[in-house]
Amino acid sequence: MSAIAPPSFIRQFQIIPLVSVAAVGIAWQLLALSGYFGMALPSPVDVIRQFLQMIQEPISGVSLLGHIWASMFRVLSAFFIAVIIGIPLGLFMGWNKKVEAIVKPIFEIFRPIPPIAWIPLAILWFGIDEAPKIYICFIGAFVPVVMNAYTGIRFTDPLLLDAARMLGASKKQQFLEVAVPAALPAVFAGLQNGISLSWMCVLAAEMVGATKGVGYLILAGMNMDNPSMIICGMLIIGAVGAAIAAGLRLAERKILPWKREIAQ
Amino acid sequence: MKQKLAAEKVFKSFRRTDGTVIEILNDINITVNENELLVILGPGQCGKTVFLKLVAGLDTPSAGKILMDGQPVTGPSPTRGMVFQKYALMQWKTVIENVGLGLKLNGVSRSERDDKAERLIKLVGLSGFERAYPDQLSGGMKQRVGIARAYCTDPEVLLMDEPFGALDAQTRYQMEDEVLRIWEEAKRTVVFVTNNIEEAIYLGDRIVLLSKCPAHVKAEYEIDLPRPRAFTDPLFLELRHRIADNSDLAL
Amino acid sequence: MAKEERINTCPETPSGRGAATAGSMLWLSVLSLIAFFLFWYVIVQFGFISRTLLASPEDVIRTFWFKLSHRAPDGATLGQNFKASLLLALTGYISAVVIGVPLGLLMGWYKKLDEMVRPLFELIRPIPPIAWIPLAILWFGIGLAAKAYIIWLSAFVPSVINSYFGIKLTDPVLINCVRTFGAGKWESFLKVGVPAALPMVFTGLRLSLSSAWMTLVAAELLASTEGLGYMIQMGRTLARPDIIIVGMLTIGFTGAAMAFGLEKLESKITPWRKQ
Repeated sequence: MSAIAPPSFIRQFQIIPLVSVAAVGIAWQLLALSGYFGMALPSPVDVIRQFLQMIQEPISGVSLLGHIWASMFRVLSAFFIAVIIGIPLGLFMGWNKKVEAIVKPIFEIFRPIPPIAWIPLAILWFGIDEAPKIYICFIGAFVPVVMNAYTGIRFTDPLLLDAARMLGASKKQQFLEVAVPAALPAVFAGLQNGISLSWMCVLAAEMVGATKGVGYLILAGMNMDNPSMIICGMLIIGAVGAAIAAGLRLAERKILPWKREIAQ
Repeated sequence: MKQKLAAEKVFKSFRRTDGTVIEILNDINITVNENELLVILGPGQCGKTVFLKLVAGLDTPSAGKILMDGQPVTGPSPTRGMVFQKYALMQWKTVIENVGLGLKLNGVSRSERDDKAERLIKLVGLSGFERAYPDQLSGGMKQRVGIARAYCTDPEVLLMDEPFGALDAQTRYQMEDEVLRIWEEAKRTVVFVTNNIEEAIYLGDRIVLLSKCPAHVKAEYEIDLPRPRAFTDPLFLELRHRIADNSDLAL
Repeated sequence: MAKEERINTCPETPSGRGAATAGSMLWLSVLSLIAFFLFWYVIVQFGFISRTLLASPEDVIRTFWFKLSHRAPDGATLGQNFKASLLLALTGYISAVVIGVPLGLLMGWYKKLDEMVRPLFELIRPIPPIAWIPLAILWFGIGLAAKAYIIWLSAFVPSVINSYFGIKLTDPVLINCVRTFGAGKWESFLKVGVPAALPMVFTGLRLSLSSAWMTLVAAELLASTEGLGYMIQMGRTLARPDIIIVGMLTIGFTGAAMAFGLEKLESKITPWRKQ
């Protein structure tokens, strides 16, 4: 596939949203004002007002930043553990047929089970506190991290391995000097998928039972019959998720300076 | 003339996934003399690369022997350097890191590696590009890196697998001259595989012509013309005519 | 030399991977699975982990058979829960992709449509479907409507995105080729754009399916009185890990089966696609 998006597309992307978002905003405001949906649809103004209030006053005893940090902490701890265990596991599975034969079948039993389906079991095991949430987020991140590292190594270009062998590389050197660096882009794709899945899992875990966190926030909004708060929470969730993804992309560009961007 | 490499009664077949067997090499007997530039010429898909891999030690013959200095070749080794058609450079390493890779794998210190690599980068005409990544280089430049890398471990034999096949015509002519220049400056035994008749006559001391699959040696030609050779020289053209008439077409 | 002697029976193995026959690898896998189940059985049977926390494999199997025909203790048989979940998931999924795929394809092809729809889409996209649950409950109450909405949304987004990029990444050489034959914009869309985009469309379908199924589980955990998600939630309330595990495995298996079915469909419709 050699097509590259025309440059005008990128320019448009920056100009058009300003116009269209304004249009959407106005339409939304009018719709809310018309009262057609009643209390259920707050206007953009209501949402902004609510947002400002949330910045100033704590919700259920915790500031807005406190809620955001609570969720982020769970995701980041889980992600960290998933990465430490998952990347080496995936890499070895992809490189060594024996390791693959031992680990893969067990992995394949657990893989199709959505991380969210683990929530009841996790709560049964760990109670309702930090542990089950971190566990769920771990499961969410673990699977993509392992799978991507695994396929990354499996599809190592045999030509590169041949070149290394000609230069005198031992098996271990082939792994460390060729296969692993070649798999890094795939590993990073796994990290992206893993952390975004983890982010979704923390929401679900928090909605089932929590006293703080962004998932708790939107649930609180629901319990307080406050759609503005819910919408604020949703937008914050979206923004934080996007920020995390952007952060990871930045890290990737630093660590893999040779990787050329495919024009999007 | 000392014999550097020898292929004796070499056969190679592969078993496909559906169980059928396909014969690639059929009773190949080739010798290569020390510091000679031997060209293996043949139509596409006829087993030239397979044969070169056997000489390299990346694969083993189904029957027959590959010998270097009279000893059987059992596996890849830095005494045989290889240059690949698709360059096979490590994208994540800079030019100097790529060139020095063979030394790194053998435990040579960083400063020694970089010294040697820099000299070779100069030899292939890429001074100034030491810190560049392969993605930033043109095809011809990438192949120069490939050649420098192969030379860096001081191999006794250089194996080149259609190294200019992926380049455009202009660059190809240029690289042919470059290879000769480098070879004159640092003499090695070279086995050069190609499907291009002009390239074969331009470069080779001797040409071994392979048939189409399953391949056997059709003919051998000694090229007595002094270098640098001219593509338009009547002797060149006559030889080209002779070889072309004898060549099989690949489908 | 006899022909048989020349044949190299060892298939080309990529260098570096442990070279061993496929047969011995299979044995390792089988032994590994046996060891796993044995370990599971032992830690429950000998009390290392209490039965209220983890059901042993035999409990799971027994409960599985039991649930096939008994409604207790959560109110529905396994089959009923399964059907409810599957129906909901498929309805949400199919209605979402039927709108999402064409929308994505058209957005990729017609710039005007892209400009109109994009900003709204980009606003919605970063919000995980699960985050919609409280709003959906507030709007529609606990029940079918809320669940259906969220599942629909979660399947909608990946379909649009992947179809969009499928079209955008069509090789312009192909498009130009067809235009030299005199094809207009709509015709080249149908004849070149859409077929070329099909592989990515299927990627989108796969992502939408897994997204829908995952969101279904979440929705049923939080906003439902039937279905597999509800069943495992009840399992926790009743401290019945065996029910939870039966539910989890059913969920996993169904998800895998649907993905497999989609793969088969894909190889039928895009036989040219190399894996």
